[in-house]
Amino acid sequence: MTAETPHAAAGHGGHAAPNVKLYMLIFGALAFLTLLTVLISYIHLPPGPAIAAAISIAVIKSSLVVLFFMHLINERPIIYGILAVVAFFVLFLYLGPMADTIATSGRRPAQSVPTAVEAAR
Amino acid sequence: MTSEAAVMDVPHVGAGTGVTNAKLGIWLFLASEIMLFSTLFTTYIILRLGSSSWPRGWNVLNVPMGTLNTLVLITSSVTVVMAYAKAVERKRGQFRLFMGLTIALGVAFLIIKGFEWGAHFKAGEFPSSSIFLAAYFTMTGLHALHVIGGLITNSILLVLSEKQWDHPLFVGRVEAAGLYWHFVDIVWIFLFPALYLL
Repeated sequence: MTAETPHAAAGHGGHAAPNVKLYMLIFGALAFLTLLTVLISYIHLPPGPAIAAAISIAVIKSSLVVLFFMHLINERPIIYGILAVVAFFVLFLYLGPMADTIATSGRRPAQSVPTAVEAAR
Repeated sequence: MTSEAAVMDVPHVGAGTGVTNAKLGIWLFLASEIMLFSTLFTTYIILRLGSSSWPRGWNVLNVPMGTLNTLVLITSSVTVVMAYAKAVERKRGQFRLFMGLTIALGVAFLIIKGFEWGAHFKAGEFPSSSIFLAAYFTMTGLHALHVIGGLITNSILLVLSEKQWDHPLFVGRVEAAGLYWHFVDIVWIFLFPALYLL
């Protein structure tokens, strides 16, 4: 047999099994974390800690959505494989240019541009 | 319906993958979308790191409206997953209620975003005004286009639920549309702090 119908598969016919109670808990956590992000921003931390706090909370929130709303926590290996390939390239996409920017920070190429940046309020 | 057509309508779970074709397809599509938005985020980071000055988001953008929009989109993520749950449980009335709420929340998001953009234009702030505003309009504009795409898909499913409720592919379509909508929510989860709060 090369294929089976979803209804022959375990659970809800090949589709992720819903858990309404869990969805409500995740919703509460997401709302709380959103308000926490905004409250932290009003403290006006220095850029380093502010970025660390905001990105950490965003990663937690997106993980909750991906794991429980998108049911990745119970997903098949093929989906994990797709996301692993994406994660590799995304990491490369972020780290490559950032490493270059940091390494060449003495002659920052973008500094020749930003009169337009400074025009922002 | 011919027997061949009937077979085409049965959602197959591939023996090699263990997932339906619809689910595999939507995850591959989302993988390409992740790369698209990652490119924008990387560009934003490089511009910011390389600039001698950069405005703080709260000085330029409307944080209360951005917060409200975040809560609206998070709520819509709950309603779309509830719509999926009701589709699995075969409760059509409740599916329609939650899908309708998801669409209404998506429209509310766009209206709030429209007010924000309108205020910027009224103040003479355009993408050409600064690199920060160029990044802001590009990233939130592309995200808004994705919201519109999700709204169209969800609306089609709401209409199809009338006549195709018992179609063997219907639940899979709802699941795929839900996965896309959650992705749109996740993009905003990162856009909001990056643009408004840092």
